[in-house]
Amino acid sequence: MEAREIATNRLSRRRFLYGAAALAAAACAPAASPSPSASGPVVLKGTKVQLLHWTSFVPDEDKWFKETLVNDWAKPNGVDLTVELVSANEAQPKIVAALQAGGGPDVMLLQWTWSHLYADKLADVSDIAEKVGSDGGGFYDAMKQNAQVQGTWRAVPFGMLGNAIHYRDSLLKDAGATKFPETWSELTKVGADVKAKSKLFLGQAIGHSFGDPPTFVQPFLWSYGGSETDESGKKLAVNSAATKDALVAFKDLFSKAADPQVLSWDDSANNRSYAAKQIWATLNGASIYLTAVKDAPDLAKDTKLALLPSGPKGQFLLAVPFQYAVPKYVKDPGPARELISYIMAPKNYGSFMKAGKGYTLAPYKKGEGDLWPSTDATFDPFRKIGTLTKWYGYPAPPSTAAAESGSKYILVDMFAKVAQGDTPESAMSWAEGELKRVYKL
Amino acid sequence: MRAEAREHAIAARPPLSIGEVLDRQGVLAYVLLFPGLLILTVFIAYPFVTSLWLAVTDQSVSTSGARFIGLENFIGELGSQIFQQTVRNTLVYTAVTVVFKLVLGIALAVLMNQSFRLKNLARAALLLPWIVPTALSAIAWLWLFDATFSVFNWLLVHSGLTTRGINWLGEGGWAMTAIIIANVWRGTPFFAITILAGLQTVDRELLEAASVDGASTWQRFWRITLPLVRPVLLIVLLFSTIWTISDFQLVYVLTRGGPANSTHLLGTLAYDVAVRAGQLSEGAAISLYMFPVLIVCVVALLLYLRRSSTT
Repeated sequence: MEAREIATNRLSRRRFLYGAAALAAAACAPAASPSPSASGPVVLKGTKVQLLHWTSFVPDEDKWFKETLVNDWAKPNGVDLTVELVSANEAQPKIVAALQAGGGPDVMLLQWTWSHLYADKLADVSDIAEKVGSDGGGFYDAMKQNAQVQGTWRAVPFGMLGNAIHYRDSLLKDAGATKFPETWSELTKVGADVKAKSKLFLGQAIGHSFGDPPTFVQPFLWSYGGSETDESGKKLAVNSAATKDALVAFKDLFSKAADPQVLSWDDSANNRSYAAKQIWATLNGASIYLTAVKDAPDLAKDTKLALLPSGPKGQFLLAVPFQYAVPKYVKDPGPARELISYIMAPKNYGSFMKAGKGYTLAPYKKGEGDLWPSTDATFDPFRKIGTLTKWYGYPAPPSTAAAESGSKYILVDMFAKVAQGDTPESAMSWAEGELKRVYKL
Repeated sequence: MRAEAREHAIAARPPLSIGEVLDRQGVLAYVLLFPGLLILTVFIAYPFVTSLWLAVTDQSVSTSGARFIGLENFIGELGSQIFQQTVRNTLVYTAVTVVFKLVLGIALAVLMNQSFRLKNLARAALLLPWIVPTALSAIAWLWLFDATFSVFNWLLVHSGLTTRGINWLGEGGWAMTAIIIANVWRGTPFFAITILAGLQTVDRELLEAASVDGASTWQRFWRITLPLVRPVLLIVLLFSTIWTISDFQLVYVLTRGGPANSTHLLGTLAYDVAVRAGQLSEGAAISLYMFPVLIVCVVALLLYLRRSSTT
């Protein structure tokens, strides 16, 4: 009797251990498996999904999310989809608050290299990203760099805002030029001529705003061979002869062709000024042109688009990239993942591009081919942006430090200081001091 | 036997009603204090202690855990040129705006203390800048200072005073001037109304007696009115210093700290570093640099209030 009791006890202890092991395995299973969908079909009916998106400068894009997406995906699948739109400059505070609090949107639209900044708190979405990339003819290199952190996709590339210089062709020709300048030094000369003739200036924002300032100054720096760090990202390179050349050239361009008021501009100020015919050229997403086509046909007719000029080291671009991320705090990521897969499928993405008339460019190569939404030849320069664009921190791979430096606008401020009258040496030295703290070098 | 009877009496006593419990002063005091203490704990003490903890760690948005690093964040900030510039900006902004608000506030209060038609309407209108939400009024100022569409610039150019407009928000010095103007506009009504309340407590007989003795208007103001409203002035000054040094909304809407950080205040820089750049601990350390100045103001205020209540 006693022996049997002991045997029963041993058995129950063993059973307990088995049970505990099974429970632990079950608890670990979702973490071990990157794809809940792999374990079976996702149940969508009756679920709620909150999507945090940016408010586009082209309202038809917002409409696509608020109406088409809701009608074509959410309603048929029985999903209660909430699309929350916030301005691009206000997205980051919302995202940080949600990640810190461990609750909020199920899908969030990240900008730039934020996937690297928040990598620890974002779920692995490699399976979705790989499929989307493959279906879309392959992601552009910059899109992959922005979303992939140490080999793991922490976000799925959504698209990019390509920037091109919008200029008034008639004013350019009045100043004696036959075509838009192909180098920065030519632009300085032509810009000065147009300013002298028309009294209008080259309106380039150099303030703390998410789009236009960084997409101008970073390619400008790269085109003269300058950069924040070397290719390894382990050694600062900003205080260099190449950066000095860039800053000297920028000072020349700024003083001859621009105007100091641009130092206070955000991303919408140049749109307003161009529409009010206060400037003759500006770097911007296609929203200026698309708005003019709709509201000011005479201005649209006179507007042409050109990619940024080249420097001694070539032509560089920096499009504003967006990515979809699913935070780790989302308990049932299945519907969120399904939503991303749906939006990014080429057929649906084509419908979105058509609605936005190509303002947001696809992150994959089909976007410049089969899905290209415009028959307007003026728009053609945008087709090349995907292949030419780089990323924050280039030529090093994207990193947390590069993302932080971008969020602190250190390079933008270095250029702004020169525009305000600082010497290139002093501005470079200032930037180096701040970057040392960011890169902890 | 007597003890037994007492026990019976106690056992027989009915339980106290809520009303009887609340009748006890000690209990009522804690009940009344509880909501206030709860609000203080949740909305002030907890965030403050959290920011103290954050400031001595290496917590960032990109990491899940935090490591204690002592005063490293505080020392590190001292080496940052942006931080040094921000401290200078904060001091200049606070000093200049508080002086202007004080002078204009006194002038307005003296004016409003006179008898004239529609006096009450004028007093109510005076409060408008103070009542309007700061973010809204800041947007109105943003348009007034807009680089392309500024009303001020239009007036300057069309009146022939200048050939081209002022670069209000695009040049460091002018941007600081612009945020100072907006802050003074918003803060002066607080000074004016509070000082006006103080002026109305000044005994008119004193002023009339001085007038009979031959004191001029200036002498009556300087020797009688001002000393009598001094307690109010001190309190208003201290409150305004605290609010101005920790200002955020106005500057954030108007300049976002630009151009090139020339209008960053400690509040806006802390926000940019903590929220935009994701360095929560650095941001907390920057905001805590305000603390010594604020604590001096608060202690001075408390000492003054205690002294005036005992006298």
